[in-house]
Formats: sequence, C-alpha cells, structure tokens
Amino acid sequence: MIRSIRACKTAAEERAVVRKECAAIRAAINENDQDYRHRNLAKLMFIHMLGYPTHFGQMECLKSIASAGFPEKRIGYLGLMLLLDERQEVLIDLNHTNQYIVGLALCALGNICSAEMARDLAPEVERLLQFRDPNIRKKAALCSIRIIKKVPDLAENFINPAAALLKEKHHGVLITGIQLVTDICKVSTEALEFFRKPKCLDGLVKTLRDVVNSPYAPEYDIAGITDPFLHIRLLKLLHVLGQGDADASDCMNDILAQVATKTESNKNAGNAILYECVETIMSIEDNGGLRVLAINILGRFLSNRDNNIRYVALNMLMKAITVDAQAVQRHRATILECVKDLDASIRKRALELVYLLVNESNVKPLTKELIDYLEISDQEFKGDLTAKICSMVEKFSPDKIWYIDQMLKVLSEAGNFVKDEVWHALIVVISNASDLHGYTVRALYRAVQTSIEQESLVRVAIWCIGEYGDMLVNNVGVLNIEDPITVTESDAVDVVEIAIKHHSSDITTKAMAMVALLKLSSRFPSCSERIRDIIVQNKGSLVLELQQRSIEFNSIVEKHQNIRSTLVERMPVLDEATFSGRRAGSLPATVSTSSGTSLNLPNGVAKPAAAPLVDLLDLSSDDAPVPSSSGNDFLQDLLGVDVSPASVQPGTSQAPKAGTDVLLDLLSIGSPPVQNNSTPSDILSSSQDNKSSVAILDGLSPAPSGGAASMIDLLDGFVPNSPKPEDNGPAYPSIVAFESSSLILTFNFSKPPGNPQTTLIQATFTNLSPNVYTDFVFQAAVPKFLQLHLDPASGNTLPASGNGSITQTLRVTNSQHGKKPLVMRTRIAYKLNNRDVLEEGQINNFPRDL
Amino acid sequence: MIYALFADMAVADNGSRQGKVRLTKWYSPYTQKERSKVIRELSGVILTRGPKLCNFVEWRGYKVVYKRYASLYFCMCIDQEDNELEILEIIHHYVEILDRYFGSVCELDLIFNFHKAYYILDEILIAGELQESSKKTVARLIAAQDSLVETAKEQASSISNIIAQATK
Repeated sequence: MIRSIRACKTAAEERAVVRKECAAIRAAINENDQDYRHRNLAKLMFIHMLGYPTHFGQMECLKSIASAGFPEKRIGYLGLMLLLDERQEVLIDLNHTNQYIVGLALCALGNICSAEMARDLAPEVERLLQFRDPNIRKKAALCSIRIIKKVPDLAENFINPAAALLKEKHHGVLITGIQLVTDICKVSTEALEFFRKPKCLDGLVKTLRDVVNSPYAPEYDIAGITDPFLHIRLLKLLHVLGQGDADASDCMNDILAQVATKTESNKNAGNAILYECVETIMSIEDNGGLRVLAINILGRFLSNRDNNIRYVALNMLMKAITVDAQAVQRHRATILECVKDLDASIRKRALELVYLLVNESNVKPLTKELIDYLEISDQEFKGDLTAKICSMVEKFSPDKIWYIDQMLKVLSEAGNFVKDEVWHALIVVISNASDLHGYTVRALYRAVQTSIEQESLVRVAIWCIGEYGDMLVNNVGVLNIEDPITVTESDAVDVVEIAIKHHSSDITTKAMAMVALLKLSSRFPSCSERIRDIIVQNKGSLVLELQQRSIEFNSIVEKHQNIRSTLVERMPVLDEATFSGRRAGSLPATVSTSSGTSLNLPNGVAKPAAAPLVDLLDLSSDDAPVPSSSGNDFLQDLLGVDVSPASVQPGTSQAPKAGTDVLLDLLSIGSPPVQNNSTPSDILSSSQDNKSSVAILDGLSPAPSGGAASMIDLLDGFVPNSPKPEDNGPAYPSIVAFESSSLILTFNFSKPPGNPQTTLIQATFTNLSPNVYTDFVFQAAVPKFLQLHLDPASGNTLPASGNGSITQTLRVTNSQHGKKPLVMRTRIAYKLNNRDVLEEGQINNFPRDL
Repeated sequence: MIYALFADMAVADNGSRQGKVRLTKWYSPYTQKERSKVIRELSGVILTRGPKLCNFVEWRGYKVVYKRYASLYFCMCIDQEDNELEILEIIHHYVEILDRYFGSVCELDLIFNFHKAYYILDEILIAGELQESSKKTVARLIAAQDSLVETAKEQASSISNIIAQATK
C-alpha cells in the first residue's frame, strides 16, 4: 500500500488511493477480521501520519491490544500511542507474564497516561520497579516519572524504590533511576532532604567517579567517553541536590573539579558533559575556585569554532554574570565579536550579554563598537540593536554632550527604529542642557542635511530648530570642538520646509514642523512672510490637526504679532527627574533571558519595555487633576504652575512665570471652568483630537480649539459695548481691587436674584497717568472652586488722567460659597506710547461672603 | 524533558520546499490541530536555516534542537533546562541505532518500516526521558521482540494451513 501511495504524482491522486484504502479497512473492521487486523492498523497509522483523519480506527487499536497475540499487541500499543492521547481511557495489562508485553504496556502508559489512570495504576508500577528484569525496571522508572508529574502527591511512595535503583549496575536502569530521583526531588521537598543525606549523596558521587574513571567499555562508549549520558544525568542530579545546600555542595566539589578538568572537549559528547558540569557548578553553593574554573571553561567555549558551543557558552555566561561579573567582564572583547557573528541566534545572545555587561567604565568604547556595527547590521537586527544602544546610552552616559552625540549618531543611522519614548527622553535632556543648546541645534542641522529619511531625527531636529533657531543662526554658544558653520535664517526655515513637504514625513512630523515654523516666525521676523506662506499651504489639508494648526497659526502670524512673541517664548526646562520617574513607574522593569530566569542584576540594569505612549497621553484626558497624581505634576512642573503643598514632587523647578502666565490668563478668558492649576490639562484636554505625542511637548503653543477660538474672538472683538446696567442693589461694598501709580481698578458687586453663589462684578478701570493707554486688555484667573466669565470690555482705550474709564462685567460663581472667599489674579496689558506695559496683581480683599 | 520529536524531509517529492514529515512523536498531549500547527511552524523555521548556523533555535519559549542527516532533519523540542548538547547526542544515538538495525539506514527504510522506527524510538525514550544508553541493549531488545513476532506469525500461518487443509 505504501508503494502505491508513494507512486501518486498529485495530491488528488493520493487522496483517491487513501480513500480506497480507508474504505477497505473500514470494511475489514466491520467484518471483525482478525487476520489482517495488525496489517490494517499499520496502514491506518501510515495514513494518519500523512495527515488524514483516522478516528474510525481507534476501536481497532483497543481490540488489538486486548487480543492475545504479541504482534497484535505490539502494533496495537503503537497505534494507541500514535492515534490516541491521554484523553482516552484504556485498559492496560501490566500483569502479563510476557515481559515484553509488560514493557509495551509500561511504555504506552508512560507516554499517554492521564491523572486518573496514573492514580489507579501507580501501585502496579511501583511493584514493577523491583521486577527482576532490568528492562522492565527501567521502563517502570520512566513510567513513574510520568505518574508523579501527573499526580505529585504520589511522589513520596516512590522515594524508597527509587533509592534502591540508585545502586544499580545496569546503566539503563541507573539512568532512568537517576532521572526518577531527580524528578521526585523537584516535586517533593521531603524527598530532596532524603536524598541529600550523606549516605545517598556519597553513593552518587562514588558512582560518578566510577564512571569517570572507568576504562574503555565498547558498549557504552561514545567518542571515547564512557556513557556520557550517565555522566550528564548524574551531574544534573547533583545540581538539584546541591542547590541551596552548602553541605551537599561541599561533598561534590572534588568530583566536579575532576570532571571539569579531565573531560576531553574535542568532541560534542565531551562538551556536553562540560556544559552540564559548568551549569552545576554555577548553581550550587559558592566555591571560588570551582567558579573560576567554570568560567574559564566558558571562555574556552567562546572561542570554539563550533557555533553550537559558542551559543551555549553565551547562554551560560548570562547566568554567570549574577555570580561573578568580574570574570565575565574579562571576556568582553570576545563577546563583542560574537555580536557581529553570522548566526542570528548567536548575535541575539551576544547582544543581550553585552547589554548586561555595560557599566560606567566601559560604556564609551562599547557604545562606539555597537554604533559602528549598527551601520552594517541587517534589518531584523537593527531594531534590537537600536533599542539596546539607546537604553545603554541613557543609563550610563557620563556627560550630556556625549549622550547627545551618541543619540544623534543612532538617530541618523537608524532613526526609524527608535521608539518614541527614546527621542522624548532626548528632548528632555537637551532642554536641560542649556549650555549645549547651540551645539545641539547645529549638530542636528548638520545631521538632517544627510539623513532626512530618519523620521525621529527629523522630529528632534525641527523641534530644536524651532526652539533654538536664533542660536543656530547667530552661532550662540559655540564650543571649541565644533567646526564653524554659518546658517542663515532662511536656511533654517528651509530645513523645516523640507520636513513638511517630504514624502515620508507623517502627521506628527508635519504637526511639529508647523509649531516650529510659528516659533521661527517670531524669532526670525524677516522670514515671517515666507513662513506664513508655508503655513497657509496646509489650510486645506485633509488631516484635521494640520488644518487646524495651519489656520490658527496663520491667524496668529497675521493679526496678533503683539502676543506672538510671548506665545512662543523659550520653553521652560523640562524636569528630568519627574520625567524619568514617571517613565520608570509606568514601565515594567524586567530582564528576560532565554533561559527564563529573571535576573536581579547588581548594577541595576533594568531594560525598559516600550513605554506605552498612552501614559504620556493620559495627561491629555485628565480633566480634573489631583495634585498627588504624578502625571499631572509633571505638566504642572512643566508649566511652572504653583503646585499645592500636598503634591508629591519636592523641589520642582519653578520655571519662568512670564510665558506661562500669559497662557493661563489667555485661557481664562471666556472659557469656563477656568481653574488655576488645571489649566495645563485644559490645554491638552481641549486638543483631544490630537493624539500624537507631540501634543505634550508642544502643548504650550495654544493649539486648543475652544480656548483659542474664543480668545481670538475676544481679542478681535474690541467693540465698544455699553456696559450692562446691573440694578440689583449694592448689597456689598465695592472694593479697590488693584491700584498702582498709574491705574486704579474698582469692583462693584451685585448678586443676581435667586442664585447666591453667583456674583456680578462691575470692573472699572481708571487711568491716573497723563498718558493715554491704548490696546487695553484685562485678564483674570481664579482658583479651582470658582468659575469666571468675562464680558467684553466697553472699550480698549483708556483716556488719561481719569477723563474716562473702561468698564467690564465679570461673573463669578463660587462653588464653595460661604466657606471660601473669592480670590483672583489679574493681569492688565496696555500700550503706552506704543510701548507694551504689563501690570499684574492679586486681589484678596473681596468681601468674605461673596 | 523532551516534548516532541519529528523527522522532516528537506524537499518534498514534487520539489516544493515544504517539508514532508516522516516521523513524529509527542510526549505531551496536543490536539491534532496544535500538532500540525507546530510542525508547520517549526518546519518553516528550521528548513530555512543555513548550513553553518548553530543547531539550536528558540521558539515560543522552548528550545528546539535539530540535526540534519542527508536530506532528513531530526528535530527535538525541549525545556529550557535541558542540555542542548546532550540532546544532539541523543539524536545521534537514535540515528546510529537505526543505522545498525536497518544496516546503513536511508530514508526509504523509514518510510516503509515506520513502525519499526517507532519501536526503536520507544526503547530509547519514554515520557520524554532517556531510557537506555547502550546501543547493544536496545538492539538486543528489539531483536527479541521481533523474533516473538516472527514465531507468532509462523504459528498463525501454520495453524491456518492446517485448518485450510482440513476444511478443503
């Protein structure tokens, strides 16, 4: 039959033949044909191996096993093991007189038994452990392994019989016996204690010694070593027994040393033994000399030409680092070579190992090597390599300038593989390194000329050019290691323009470019027109974010030059500690190696998993921040807002107020609820449709739709409005809210009927100076529990010397009415002889019961 | 512990690069679907590896050790704890025994006498652990069992002869 199947040329033909055969077999089964049963079963199995369904044959297997003849039984058991698995209930004849049949049964049981079957048949198997025939004994031993794996409770029953097996002479039984003992010890601590007793342990050591020293035995010889399998099993058992127990480990030291030194390593068998020996030495309790020996062996392995040997050596070295990092460092050069190996598995192992070896002293040369290799490595590897380099550089960089240099190299080479959190971190560092701003932006400028297709590089570059464009053009802060470079304003704008127009730039990049252009339009007033043209080109963009930014920025450039410069002032320094604290908190710090053990490394290396961008973005959806939440603290620090004393972050940097307060106040106009310390999240919450990470860093530019629109409207609408008359009787005394040498602001209060929490304030501005104030703007901010609404002012020109006044109505709602008084911060801006003047103040003298 | 073993051919008869599986043995319960999926995936990974690369592959948290003999790949899927070099030796052990038994074994032997290949495997491994390290012993056991089969067949045929004669 097999021949006929093989003769089939096509799959269809084969199917036809198989179908015919199956039909014949089915017919034979139905007829209960005894003679050909085993032949049919064999055919069935072959068909099964080809992949066809053979469920109808399962009963046949059982019947075959139940029959008396040996051939039937043999094939029946085979069928049992192949076609069925442990989900079937099967009768097993362990009591048969024919030992081969018992053997078959044990074999089948060993391979497929289920927990119930195991429980039922355990006593039988236990008895068979002492059977006279070694063949049965060894099979019973392995069967017992399966049983205790399925039913760990039964392990204790097997301790004594297993101990007896250890004294065997027959290698097969010895091997299986040792395996059984090893597995019992893994399952039951009681057994572990039992076997650790010197009586047993010495016996084992003696056995190993005998095997090691035994003369040539042709039956067991493999590559000149007698029974390497036995060697290895014994070593494994010693490993289990010695782990965690100093006394036991002491017993083994001599023999381990002997094995380590005497075993020949020119053949795979010898190396296998050495490998196991090293593994054992590493796991048992410390013995300095042995460990050194072991690591030397590994070192020899590393330079072996055989790939397999190098692979296992690298594996072992990773475990060895926890034990003796110094020794492993000595082999660093070889390991570094392995990173460049042709074999992908070896490369991966070597890279992980190198990563674990990095510390402050060797980080510079290692990084240099790795970056050099990055250029020639192939694509699948680049991702891994980049991630490792970035994290290495971040953790161990000795100074900022080196960090920035390395990161720029990596970005230029493999920017597309760099994860977002990495270049975010880079920006944080850059912003903190204030003396390096000029250097950085120039380096970025140069880099972008050559590597425009590396997305992350472009993003970092345009952010920096936007922020520090003036430094770039004016050659500020040149370090003496730099080459001279002249960059004109239009060159800088060129770069950003290219970024916007480049075909591979995605939405994030383009959005960032827009913001950068806005900043540049303020820093380079001469290019303003050109910039405006570029911005306007995206007015009709299909992407909402780009369109929105384009229109808003265009509007700012055109009509609001007076606030533009303050809008895009230099960003305050991003707090590194908070940022990295947040990142570390949100990232699972796991070091995972292929061996599955999680290492707790002394030099504190924790590989960050890819930080979920969502963490950073979460900030954008928080509407009501709690001061203790670290996310919002970060932004509050970012914007230098006063954090309440309950906040967790000590010593946060209070960044310059000027720029940020403008934003607070700007947003406080006309947009309820206006809250002091939640304004940063307002910025972000109103730009919820922009989910790009850039929103955070660039969020200081007023991108929010709601706020901005109303702000612009208000600024546009300096239409003289007649002040609304409020004729609720003055139940409260009016106050002088603000007074300076040139300006007085008075508040008159009234309450609308029916709503005790709301207060209407009529603000009156009077000019005490002999000069006229033009472009008069009043802004106010209130704490969280208040809501503020400003109506348009009556005008924006304040005549001199009190010859007239501007009035404006404010509506305040106090959610803590009765418990807390009103309080307000004010900011008044106006032009005096075409000079901008700013007056700020805080009003604390509100009547208490408003 | 060894989870699975299979022997896979490098190039199928019709010339496609998809492996054809000659032998599989599973030491843990897997459904039919899982089995074929595993085989497909591993074949894809292993058959495409270059000749100079090391014989170990990491796959789904397990290690897979493979060795190539002529056109046949023998693959074993093992635990993290197991000694890869030893597994290579076990594979070699098995192949050598097959060699002795069939006398210069070739792939056709495995195809036409697959049940015998399995019997031999069962004498070497049970429940994913090594059973016997001596080739001689294994050969002896298999020979003994084979002779049992032979005698049983002879008996059966002689009885049926007698019956056939008697009922003619």
